[in-house]
Amino acid sequence: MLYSTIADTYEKIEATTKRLEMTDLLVDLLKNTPKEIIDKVVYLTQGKIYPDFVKLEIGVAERLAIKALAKASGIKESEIEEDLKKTGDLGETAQKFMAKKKQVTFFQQPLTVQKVYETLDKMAKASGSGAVDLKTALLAGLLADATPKEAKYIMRTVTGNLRLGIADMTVLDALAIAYGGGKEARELVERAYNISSDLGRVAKAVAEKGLRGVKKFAVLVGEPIRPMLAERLSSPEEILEKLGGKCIAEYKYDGERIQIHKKNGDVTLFSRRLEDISSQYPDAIELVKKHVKAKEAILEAECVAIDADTGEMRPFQELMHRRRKYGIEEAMEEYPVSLFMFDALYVDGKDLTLELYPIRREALVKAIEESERVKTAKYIITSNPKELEKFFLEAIENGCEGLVCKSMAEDSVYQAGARGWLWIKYKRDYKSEMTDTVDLVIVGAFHGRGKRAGTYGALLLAAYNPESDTFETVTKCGTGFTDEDLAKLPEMMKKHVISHKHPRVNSMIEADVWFEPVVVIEVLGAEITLSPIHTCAMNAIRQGSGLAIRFPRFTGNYRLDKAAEDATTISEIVEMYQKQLKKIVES
Amino acid sequence: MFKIKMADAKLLRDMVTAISILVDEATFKIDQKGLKLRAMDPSRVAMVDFEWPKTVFDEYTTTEPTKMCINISEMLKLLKRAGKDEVVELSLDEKTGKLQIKITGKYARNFTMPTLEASEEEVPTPKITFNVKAKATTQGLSQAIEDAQLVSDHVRIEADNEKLVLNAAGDLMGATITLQKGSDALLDLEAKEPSKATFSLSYLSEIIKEASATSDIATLEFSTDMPIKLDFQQAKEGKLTFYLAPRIETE
Repeated sequence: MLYSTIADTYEKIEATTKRLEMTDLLVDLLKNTPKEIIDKVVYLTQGKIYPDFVKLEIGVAERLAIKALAKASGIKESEIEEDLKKTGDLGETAQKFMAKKKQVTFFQQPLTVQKVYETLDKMAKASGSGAVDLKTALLAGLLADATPKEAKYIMRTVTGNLRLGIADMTVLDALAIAYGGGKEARELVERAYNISSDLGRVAKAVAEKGLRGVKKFAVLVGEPIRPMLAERLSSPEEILEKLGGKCIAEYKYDGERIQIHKKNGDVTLFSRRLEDISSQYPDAIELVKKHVKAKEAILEAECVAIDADTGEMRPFQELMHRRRKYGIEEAMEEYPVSLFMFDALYVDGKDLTLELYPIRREALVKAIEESERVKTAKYIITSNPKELEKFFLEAIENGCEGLVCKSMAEDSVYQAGARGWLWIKYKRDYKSEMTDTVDLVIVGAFHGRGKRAGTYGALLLAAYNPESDTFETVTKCGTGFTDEDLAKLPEMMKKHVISHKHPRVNSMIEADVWFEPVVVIEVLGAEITLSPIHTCAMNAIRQGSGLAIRFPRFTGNYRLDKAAEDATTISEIVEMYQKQLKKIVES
Repeated sequence: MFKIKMADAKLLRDMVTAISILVDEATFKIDQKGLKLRAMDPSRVAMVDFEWPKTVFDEYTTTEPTKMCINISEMLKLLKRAGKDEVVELSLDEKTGKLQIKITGKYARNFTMPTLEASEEEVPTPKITFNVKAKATTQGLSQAIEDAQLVSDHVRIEADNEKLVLNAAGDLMGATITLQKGSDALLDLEAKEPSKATFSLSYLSEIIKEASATSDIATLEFSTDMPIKLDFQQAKEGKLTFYLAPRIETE
């Protein structure tokens, strides 16, 4: 097949803004394409040579493209640069200069699609010290054989600027019409795409075997499945109603959603946008190798930054420190992660995407071995709006974004690539950010584990209620303590230890150790949030809820100058909450 | 299977360097008569035609005609390790498909490198009627090219029966270099009719610079607006010829 056939189609597509016309042009092109290379043609129409999840790019910088054009046309680089400033489009500039090229070549040959694809593939795979020279030579070679029009599209392709505006969905439509017998076939073709994310593979299957080819399409470990997305509602009643009165409500962890592909010893992690992000999370890969028992699996998880010492979840912003190319080792140390698994799409030979959610979850539980850092997402099954709300507040207080409520009904399959009402997000509409520090009383403590064995893992802290002269719990804080702090804390608190909760302490939480309310420390949190378990200002804002501090951190200041009764009062916390309460604007 | 040996490592290295300016992956043909390569640079602007009969080698054995494709720049890295009077031996291990490069002299080195899939493309020799034939020293040519390069990136070569003129015109500067027939630089000149053609200096200078290492005398042949043929006379038997396509200057 000649590359000029593709270039002609591109030109026509560029000239239209109507999606239907675009589809027709694509249908013609696909029908005229030999089946063996239809995958390549499909990638090329997208300005690519592989599916998105393949971590290889043609990667031609402007500098290199100009050099190659100068070589092929015999025109000076400075002249090309000058023209490029005017056109702003290397494609157009290439077309212009190849039409009036000064350099004669030996034996010009018509370009075939295969030749173009193979050359681009060689360019993408070129690496090492000679890569730039090799890429320049290869591109110049392509241009030397190209007509000016072909040169335009080749140049745009290699520099990542083809931008014909052919959406994935348009290609699927065209495939359904060209090889599936008509637009009705679209749904089947789309499903094949949704579970493989590979337009080329789908094209080949439907071109070679018709609808039979896509019906038999199965998930493949190593090819990311397009993620199922959730709709959003903002009241427990509405959510339950939409889900048929009953649902599985799961913590919506504030981390990065990842799709885990495990095949024997190999683990690949894909982002929500199907990019291979394995290199960012060597520690997550180790966790998967160790704790996923299944030999082959595709699982979904939320990857969350945790406090290395306490195991508590950290805000999303901290996870973002892991988005880097260099210094991964250091970032791993500083911002370790936990995995919270929430779906199983394939386990040991079985495609689970058409199974119901409760069955998938069961498969998930069997596929993994829970540990400190690999868990399934915390959940409840409920039909009670009050219970759902309470679980929601608990999730927020523990550092989550909210809940994902999932259908358990007869149609609760995995809708790859679709946003639907089988999953519903429940997030906060308002939040109250904390700007000032508070002084809180240590009323209890929890034993530490792991690195903190022998000392405290976290302290139970309270605010003062002057009306009842009691101390009401407001947060559990384990972050911000230096090794030195941790070493001296048990010694320092020893004289205040009592065998039971102090009568002036009002707590719904059972601490491991109780103290007399004496010692005051300074704490800064990220937010103040409604809480079902802390007693601070109970019922003041909402019936049945107290207030809690989210993501608390000890500032390092022991307020030895302050008596317990000088600690921040509950009314001050209520005021802080109300003053900073703002509607959350989704970006 | 083949095995060839050369007592002069430098000669082999220089020849491979000359080839490397045009091609990155080179397919050699090896048969009873000798070693051959004909290849075009990826931009199809220049061609190299190279031949070494077996008499050039100190030892030459081959069982059947073979094609061998190798990465030239990788090979060059290995050959650069050979000193002036060291012996190089090349052999192909057919089982592994690897090329062995053995360098002996002060001490013994045995390198292996992979061979690539041989290109099936046959490059034909351009059939051109040349009107001008000039014989020049490679040193003289190099000098003239260097002069021209100071002012432009391309050069017009003109000749009649008296002289060969290189004319370079840059945006601001210009240069005219004249080589008289019978001078030290221009040994001989024949022109059936006065001719002129323009060529890229980057190709021309690289070809002349690298080929000069293997040869003292070059024969130039060209016609108006046609490719130029540059034949570099070899000390021993053998052939190293380059063809370079012209530029079309519209004035």
